[in-house]
Amino acid sequence: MSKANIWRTVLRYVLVIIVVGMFTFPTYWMVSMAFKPKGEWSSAAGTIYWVPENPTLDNFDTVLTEYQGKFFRANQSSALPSIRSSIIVSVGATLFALLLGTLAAYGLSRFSMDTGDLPWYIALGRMALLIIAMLPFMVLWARLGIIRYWYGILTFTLLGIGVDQAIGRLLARFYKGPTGSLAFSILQLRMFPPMAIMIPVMLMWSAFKLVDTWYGLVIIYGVVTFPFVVWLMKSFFDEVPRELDEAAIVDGSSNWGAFIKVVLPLVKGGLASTALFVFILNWSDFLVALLLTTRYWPTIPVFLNTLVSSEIGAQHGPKAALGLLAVIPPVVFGLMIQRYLVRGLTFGAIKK
Amino acid sequence: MQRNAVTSLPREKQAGQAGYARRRRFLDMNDVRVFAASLTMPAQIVLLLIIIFPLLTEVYISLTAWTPTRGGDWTQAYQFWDWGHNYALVFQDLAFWQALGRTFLIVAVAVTLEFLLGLGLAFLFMDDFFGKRVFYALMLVPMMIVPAVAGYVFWLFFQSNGPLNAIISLVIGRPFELTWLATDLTAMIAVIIAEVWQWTPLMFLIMLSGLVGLPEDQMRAATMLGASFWQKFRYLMLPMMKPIIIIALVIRGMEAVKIFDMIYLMTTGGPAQATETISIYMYKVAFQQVRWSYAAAAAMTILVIMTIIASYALRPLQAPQRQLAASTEIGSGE
Repeated sequence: MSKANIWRTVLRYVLVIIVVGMFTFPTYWMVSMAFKPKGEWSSAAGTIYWVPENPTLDNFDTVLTEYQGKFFRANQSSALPSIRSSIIVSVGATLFALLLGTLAAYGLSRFSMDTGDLPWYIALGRMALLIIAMLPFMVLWARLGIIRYWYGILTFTLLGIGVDQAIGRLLARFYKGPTGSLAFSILQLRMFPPMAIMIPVMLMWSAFKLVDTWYGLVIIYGVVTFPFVVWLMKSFFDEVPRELDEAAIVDGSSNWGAFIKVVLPLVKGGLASTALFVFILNWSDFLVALLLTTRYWPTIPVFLNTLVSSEIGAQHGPKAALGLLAVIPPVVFGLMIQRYLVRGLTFGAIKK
Repeated sequence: MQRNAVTSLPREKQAGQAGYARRRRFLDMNDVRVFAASLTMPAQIVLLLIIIFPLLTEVYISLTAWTPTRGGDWTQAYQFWDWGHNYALVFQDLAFWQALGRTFLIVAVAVTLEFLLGLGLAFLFMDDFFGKRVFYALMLVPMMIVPAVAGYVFWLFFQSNGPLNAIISLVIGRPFELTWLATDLTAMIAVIIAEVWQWTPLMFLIMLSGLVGLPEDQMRAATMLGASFWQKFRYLMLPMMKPIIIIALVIRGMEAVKIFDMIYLMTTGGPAQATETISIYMYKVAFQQVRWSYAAAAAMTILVIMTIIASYALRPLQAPQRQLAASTEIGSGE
């Protein structure tokens, strides 16, 4: 090895260790905090504890066992209900999103309905026409007093779908370009800050009595994350040559048969990694659960945020312990699917 | 039994040629169009269900002065009808525009830093070295950490008696006490550091996959012709990586605009409004000031602004293949 090469190697190691160390430190701090006894949580006495001097599992014990309602919120004395909530909701929403998204992805991949760029004035124009057409009905439904019930919402939405289709046809007459596509609206759904749609969603959810239920969260998470399924699965389906489905159909299988028995088994790996990816997204959400849960179904991130004791002040140790538990599934799954993470987080635009 | 292949001729033509009577049953899965529709229909319906009603409700409420504390539920909002008053207020509301500007500022600074750090790191990880896999895995961890947990960890991190101040004290050799989250500028820096910490790994991953995918023979040719590292970077790597870089920036920008969890847990937008992004602003208006109709008007304004930005920003994503193909031509042609 020449002298220059040695220096380069040393320089590389120094840089890598510094940068990776900086990026690892916050995680390390949480892990070490989880094992620290109460006296080492903060450095009020002027000494800071870089490593737990008397490592203990008390924090996990505090979070995971019942404390007679002494420490936590009135109706929950341990983190177990929130862990259960997170697992049920994330798994349910992942399945829901997979079901919706895989079908749509196959449709978009095989029968390309992506009509390309949609100019903003068409998107907004279509939205504005829909609003102008439907607003009187909204007021009417409200005056009739049926809008707060599920049948009012349902009839209104069905009417809206009809009007939306009519507007699409009307626009297509005057404007010879794309007037909207499923692919675009799916992608667009990811653009809006969730906060911007949460107010009406909360009203809708309370009308359907979905607030603070596991299925209410499953539905909203499924809707929020299925665009990721569509874009990920579409990129996997695109890699399966069309000739395969055609061959299956020539051999006498039906369209559905070709999809389920021939194409789906070929993208098994992709489907599994998509599932894990969407699970991570659902598991990580904070805002939606914060707004749509109150007493019974807060997920781990929401519960973590309320973990304050009136008796002994901030619960740094237990919070870090719960945080550590919350972080384990996404990190394990994330490392399992790291090859596909880029693809997922870039909507399949970068395939690697 | 006659079946249609997925990409074969439309049924009518086939039917005409084969003398097959045109008889379409409802939900005939052998009809390609029915099959295609049944694949995308569930997603279409759910999308419309989840878009039409909330959209109209939002517009409806935004045109009134209703809010939960005014009595009556939201269906009675028509009693407080006041046309576009809320929108006029939004346009005059300095806090709204400041929150919007602040959001774009955070996005611009954070995404730029993420990009530069990610690209630099990717260069470090390009060749093999001992222990690379371990460092690589460690480097990926931050982006998988639940943002709400990360927000809490960074809240701890920036306390005046927290580890950051302790590290700085060690480095400068005297006690250093700064309450990071209590002054405007440092709170902003803290939030940006947290955002950069969480998402640099994604940039790193994207840039690394881009660099690894560069055609080796061209790089070797450039080396043999005596090109310096900077020349190779400027005239070879950068043009070839351009589409990937654009996609990475667009996607990070799109996601960063929505930033909420971290800021909510670290500063809740404070001190005062120093770190109030658009999501935090809407949260505060709706749930702390309880002005729902106003928040709805603000949300509609955001939707319009975002739709306009999205239609331009998403272009590189719509045809990544075409873009990639075009760029390799530029890369090899010049």
